Amino acid sequence: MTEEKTREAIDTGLRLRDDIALKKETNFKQMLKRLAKNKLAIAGGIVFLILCLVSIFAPLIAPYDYAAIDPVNKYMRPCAEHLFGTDQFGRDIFSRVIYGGRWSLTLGVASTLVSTLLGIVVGSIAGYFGGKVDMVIMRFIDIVQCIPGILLTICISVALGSGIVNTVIAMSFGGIWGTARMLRGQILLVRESEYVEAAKATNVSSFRTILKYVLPNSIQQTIIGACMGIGGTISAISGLSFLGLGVQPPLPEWGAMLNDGRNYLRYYPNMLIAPCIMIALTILSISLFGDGLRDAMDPRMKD
Amino acid sequence: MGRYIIKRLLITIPIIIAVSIIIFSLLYITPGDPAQMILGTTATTEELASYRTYLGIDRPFLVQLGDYLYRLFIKWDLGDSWVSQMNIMHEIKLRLPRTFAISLYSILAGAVCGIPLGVMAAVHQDGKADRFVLVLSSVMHCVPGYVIAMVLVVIFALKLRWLPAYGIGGIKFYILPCLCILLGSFSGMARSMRSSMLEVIRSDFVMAAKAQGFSKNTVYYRHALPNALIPIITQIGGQFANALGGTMILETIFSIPGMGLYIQGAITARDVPIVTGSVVFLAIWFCLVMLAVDILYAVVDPRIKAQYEAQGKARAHRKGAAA
Repeated sequence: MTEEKTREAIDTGLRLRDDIALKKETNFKQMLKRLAKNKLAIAGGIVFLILCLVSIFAPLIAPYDYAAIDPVNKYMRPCAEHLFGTDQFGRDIFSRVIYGGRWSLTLGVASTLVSTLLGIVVGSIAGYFGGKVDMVIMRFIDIVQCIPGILLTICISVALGSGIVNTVIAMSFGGIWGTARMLRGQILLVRESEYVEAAKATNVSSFRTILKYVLPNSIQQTIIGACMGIGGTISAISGLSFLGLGVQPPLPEWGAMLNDGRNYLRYYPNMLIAPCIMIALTILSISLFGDGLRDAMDPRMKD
Repeated sequence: MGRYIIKRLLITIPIIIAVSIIIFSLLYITPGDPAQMILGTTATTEELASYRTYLGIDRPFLVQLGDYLYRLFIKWDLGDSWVSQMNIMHEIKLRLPRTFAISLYSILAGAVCGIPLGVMAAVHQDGKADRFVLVLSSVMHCVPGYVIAMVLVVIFALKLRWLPAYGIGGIKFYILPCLCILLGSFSGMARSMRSSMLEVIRSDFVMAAKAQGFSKNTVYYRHALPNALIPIITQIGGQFANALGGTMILETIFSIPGMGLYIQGAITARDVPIVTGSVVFLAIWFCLVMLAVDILYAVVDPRIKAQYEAQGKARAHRKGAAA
């Protein structure tokens, strides 16, 4: 008799577990389905993927080396040999734009990734532990956010010097605090919920509680924010190169190319049009994808 | 409310001091010898050493920092530029109005253009107006501001010759820079206005107003709009708070001798007093604007006012209990 009951209970438990597993999968699948229905978002994702692939396989696609100087053929208009013409040193602009993605995209994605990850660490510490820790972190964030972002970035990038890694550090430092503040707000909402209490009560370590129970329920906004932020970061990095900081010539970062061609805008606009289109295309594709992701993740958009 | 304001003002003081310490330390670790940069490569070792003593940068870090903080917060003196020997307060007074004018005009114009567009898009959700606003704002959003600036310069200054391409002078000189910021900022404004308006339109009290039989226009513009405008205050406030330091690239393109160009030049020239002085100035500005935004919030939204007051009361109560 008791054995039967036990078996029944186990069966019910197993069924419940399967149901929950099924539900979880369908939730994620539902989100993917909603995302797949959004044609603009998919188009944005595909364009961004193509841009990434083009930069990865740049040596196979680009007809010339990005730094190859050809004094005879400078200031060329677009023609068959030079698709977008050549610049003031006779470098092929098409090849430079293709290679440029390597720096622009890598810097943009890496900076956003670093700042988001650090933001998550800082935000979850502040939000989960609360009390004095929270107060110290939040006051520090108040202080840093008083300094205009671009100023802080310029100061750091001058202090560290130019270079890929230093630019990533300078760019990501400013982004950490906004992410942390937002995530902390979200964590405060779930910190008191029953499942977190249960985890604490069953002696799960703080690290594991945050990772397994708190973050999955509060991180959504942060992911969307990071996705949307890549575009802004790429724009900001090209702005930094435009000021002569960040990536240094002859590396063909798109912003640096714009800065190079600035003085020739009136007579040789083709030097600027290509990098400009690439920047705009990247930001547009990412923001379309981010928009779609946000709509797909929003539970109110179900049905 | 008064207590809340005083408390916030008092918090500002340690924040400003911390900001100046951070910026000073950051510049201290920046490589490059200011004396060498000012005197050039021809200077002898003795000249360099005596100039370093003159600037006071041969002293240990903490002494320099202490001296700087003493002069800044006790004597209210921003000091002189290392490179040009000009008084920094004087320079800021000269340059600030230009940057301020550009930001003020462009932010106001951005709000005037962006808010109606956003409301229009939200009211006709998924209609033609909505599509138009979304496409326009996506396109404007993805073109960096300095690209817009360069295109505008070519069209209006070089080809048509209607407006000056760079420099500072009458109102004509402000049109292009303002237009650049405006084109970049109104799309963001329209977007957030749209989503804020949509949120309010879906809320219960709007539903109730509709059920009571008010006309659509009354519900949207008398009931929903004022509530939807509240988050926009934060956005405009944030733009104002960041504006004075954020026009660097624009000032570079249009050669406007404003705050941005001043600070940027000083950073590359290692002119420490200018950078620290200006950043402290901007940080104070930021704190005051944010405080103004919070006060404005309380004025327009009685719920938030009650929150501030409740905070004060709760703290007083807790203190009383502890005593």
